[in-house]
Amino acid sequence: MTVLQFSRREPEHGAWHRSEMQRVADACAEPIARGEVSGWETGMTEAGDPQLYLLGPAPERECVICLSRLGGNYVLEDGQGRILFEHDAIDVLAEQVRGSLRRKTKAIVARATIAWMAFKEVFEEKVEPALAEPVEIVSLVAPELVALI
Amino acid sequence: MNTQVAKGPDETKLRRRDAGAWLKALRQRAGYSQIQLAERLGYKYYTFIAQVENGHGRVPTDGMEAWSLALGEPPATFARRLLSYYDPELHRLLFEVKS
Repeated sequence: MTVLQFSRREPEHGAWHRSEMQRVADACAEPIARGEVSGWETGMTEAGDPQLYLLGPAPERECVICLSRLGGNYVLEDGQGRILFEHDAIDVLAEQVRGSLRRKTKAIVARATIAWMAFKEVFEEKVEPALAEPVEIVSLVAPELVALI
Repeated sequence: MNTQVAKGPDETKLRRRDAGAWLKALRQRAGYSQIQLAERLGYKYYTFIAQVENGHGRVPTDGMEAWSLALGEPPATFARRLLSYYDPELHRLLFEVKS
């Protein structure tokens, strides 16, 4: 029996390759168009491993996704240090970047929906009856409404 | 009168960078590499340490105590200093405005 010897992939260090950046840029095209990603920046770890930070909307421009290449592996983390995915193929990682950003958008929409429902409930329970009362009463519930926004 | 601290995108970014530089200085003073600090904090990789030090991440609130102890800073002092970078307006209200 002949055992085929596959060439071992050399660990990589240093800056991002153009092809890697292109894969990630392709994955981010839609989120950028929708304004969910405002851009990206690159950096390095102390050991010289490249990192790519996808930034959320202005003005905060917080890092929403951090992609690092460690040796021959890619690691995907959120802005809190939670590992979302790791793999040795950039195409697979790019797809995960796309999926992670999509899930993040859905979570934001879900939170906004809950906030809107709570706002509506407070409005129906407190504001509508108060409209018949003097304006001073409305000022009493205003802080609660502001807290929900 | 509006006394809110102006918070433009550049200022926010600069503050996160400053926080990262401060954390890096603390780590170096403690004699750890990014890998060693990540090990002490229980992270699988050291990439998050680099992310925070490069000004692209924040020390999570629930991780501040562990970070402070690993870096040899009292937790309250550490958290207060980080708050001054991450949320300067809240820091001002809590620690600078006299009631």
